[in-house]
Amino acid sequence: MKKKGIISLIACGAIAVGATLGMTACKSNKGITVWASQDEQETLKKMIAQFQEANPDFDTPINTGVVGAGDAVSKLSTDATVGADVYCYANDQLVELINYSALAPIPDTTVAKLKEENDANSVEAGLFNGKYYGYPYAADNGYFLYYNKSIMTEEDAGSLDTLLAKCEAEGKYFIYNMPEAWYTGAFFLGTGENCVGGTYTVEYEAKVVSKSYTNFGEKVSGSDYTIAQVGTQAMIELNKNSYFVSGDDKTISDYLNGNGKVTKFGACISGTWNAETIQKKLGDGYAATKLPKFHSTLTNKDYQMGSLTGYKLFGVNPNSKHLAEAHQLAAFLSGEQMQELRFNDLQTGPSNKKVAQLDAVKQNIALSALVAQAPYATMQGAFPGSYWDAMKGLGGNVQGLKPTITTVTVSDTDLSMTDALKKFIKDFETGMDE
Amino acid sequence: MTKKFRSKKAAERGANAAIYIILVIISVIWLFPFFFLVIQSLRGEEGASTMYFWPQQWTFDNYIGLFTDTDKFNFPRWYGITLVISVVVTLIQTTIVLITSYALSRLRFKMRKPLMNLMLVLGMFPGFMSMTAVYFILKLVGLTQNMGLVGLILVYVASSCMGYYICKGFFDTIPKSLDEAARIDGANRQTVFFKIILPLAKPIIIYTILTAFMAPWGEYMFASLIVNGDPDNFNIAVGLWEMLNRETINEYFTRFCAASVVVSIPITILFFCLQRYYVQGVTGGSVKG
Repeated sequence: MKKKGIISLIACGAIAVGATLGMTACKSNKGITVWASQDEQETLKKMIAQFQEANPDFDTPINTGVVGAGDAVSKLSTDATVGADVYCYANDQLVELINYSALAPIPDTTVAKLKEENDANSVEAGLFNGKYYGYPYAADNGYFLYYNKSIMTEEDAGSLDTLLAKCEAEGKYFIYNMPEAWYTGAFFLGTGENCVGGTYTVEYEAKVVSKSYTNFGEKVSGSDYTIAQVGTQAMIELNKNSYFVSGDDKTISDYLNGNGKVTKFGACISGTWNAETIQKKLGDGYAATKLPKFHSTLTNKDYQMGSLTGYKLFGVNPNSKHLAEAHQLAAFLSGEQMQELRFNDLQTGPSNKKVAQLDAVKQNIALSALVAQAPYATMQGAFPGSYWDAMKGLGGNVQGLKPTITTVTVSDTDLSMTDALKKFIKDFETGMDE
Repeated sequence: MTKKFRSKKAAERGANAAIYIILVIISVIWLFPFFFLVIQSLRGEEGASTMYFWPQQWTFDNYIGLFTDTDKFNFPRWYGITLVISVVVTLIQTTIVLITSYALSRLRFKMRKPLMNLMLVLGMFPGFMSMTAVYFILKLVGLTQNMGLVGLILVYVASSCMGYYICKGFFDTIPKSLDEAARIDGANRQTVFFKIILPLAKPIIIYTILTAFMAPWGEYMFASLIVNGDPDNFNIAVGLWEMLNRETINEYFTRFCAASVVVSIPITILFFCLQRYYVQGVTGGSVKG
């Protein structure tokens, strides 16, 4: 009896293994694979169908995989040879991907065409050591201000102080992710009109960062205070306000929902991925614009907040067995028509000049806010870890008012503060000789 | 001499009350996350999180959507795949563990002690350290990507014989004289194993099945590495992780919670059915481990 039981148990196992084998074996490994996030799959399949329609003699089968632009690096770092033939990546991952031998350079003739059709910066985003490595398709990897139109006007939203005053009057909140390095730079970076004038420079030598530095130690034009002091002081002032909340996307969701009936959302700094959520909750109150100006209590002047901005590109894997076809497909997927389709389906901000001029794109509230912020934005290249650590450290210090920053007056007489900021500036530097 | 004695009963009652209060507090702390998950999965309002605890609208839509709205996130398929993997792994692993334990408990052979020592030492290495190496070996043999499921099963059952300790401990408690009696009556080793040992070892079989099932059920790291972005071969953990992207988290968070509740169902059922054996198995095996 028992013996039979065990034998049938093993038999069941064998059948199950067989079934799994059968299930997987019928799928062939041949062809080109394209990666995109789950969110983009439907649109990607439409695009591939259009590609096959436009190129009837293209007989290599095309498969899709679920790896978004943010995850491409981690997947390819394990083993670039089995990665997708064509995949999306954010331009700040460029150097890392090149280091993993996961990006193939684009033929010169194609580059000329890309430059002609796309925003100049977006093509430059794929440039490394004189070669271009990406087909740009999105120019929306940045942040700007969302605000609740029902409690403030666009003019109110142009100044951080007025914005906070309006929030206070209505019992609503302003959300900004202070200790998240990507956002912290808003108080320092930016060379556009009225910005504090901070810059960050990274230099490469044969695929590794050889030098990186900031000018945060220099004086803000027309004042006795450094960029680091002005920015930090403004952060400290903001942090004192009880209608300011430091938090991530989840916090934004929290305040949008409020108590379930009335929203507590006044304004927030975020990117296009939150547009739909905020619009749904605020309805007629939904609005977006460039980041506000902050008032410096040190120099008694207003400064425009800066931001970081990046692009998304299609990369081609040099390990691809169908390299020429992969380039052909990537070029198609990043083309004008496909960017238009992508905008219609996913509200992706296009890098293509013609698509950017479409009425529908211009009327998109979030994307036009991004365009308005563009003059004050700093292009986010492959920043080394030291940048993110330094920013995150300062943001966290200000937010928690840790011992290193105990006072709200930043001046040269306050030694501990000066030291903290000196260290802050120093932290950005790699490979600099004294 | 007047000395006050508290009755033994009262003292016991006091101690029991204290113990129960502590236990209740601990169980509330333990159960709260799961309770929170269930509540969130029944929330009707969208959004990654809310500032209040009780939902304003109660709904089952998150559960229904999980199984009907499969265009974007094909939950039923991932569920099926994970179930197949887990069941196959359970069958193979249970068989291997039982056989190994029997051999090490009953048979005496030259390499017995060295083998046991070797397994002990090998067991000290954390499995994920060898992850990249295992991956490249599997790739060499062609068991990644489209053949990923087979590769995964192989990875999960690969070192299963090393989990023989508790099972062998249990076998050791079954008197040897039973074997000897059977042998005298003409039974061979195989008959002894199937007819004598196994019927007596029900608790430990159940215990082995439970632990074997649970390991691959929620596994993420190997699964993510080996399927390499092919959504048709995702297991539950890898698939659900996709729901939490910054683009989709607001829309899908409540559904993610619902999925987590559904995921816990098979394990809960298994435990409820096999609970009394489980305790016997764990404690029985430890008498002579």
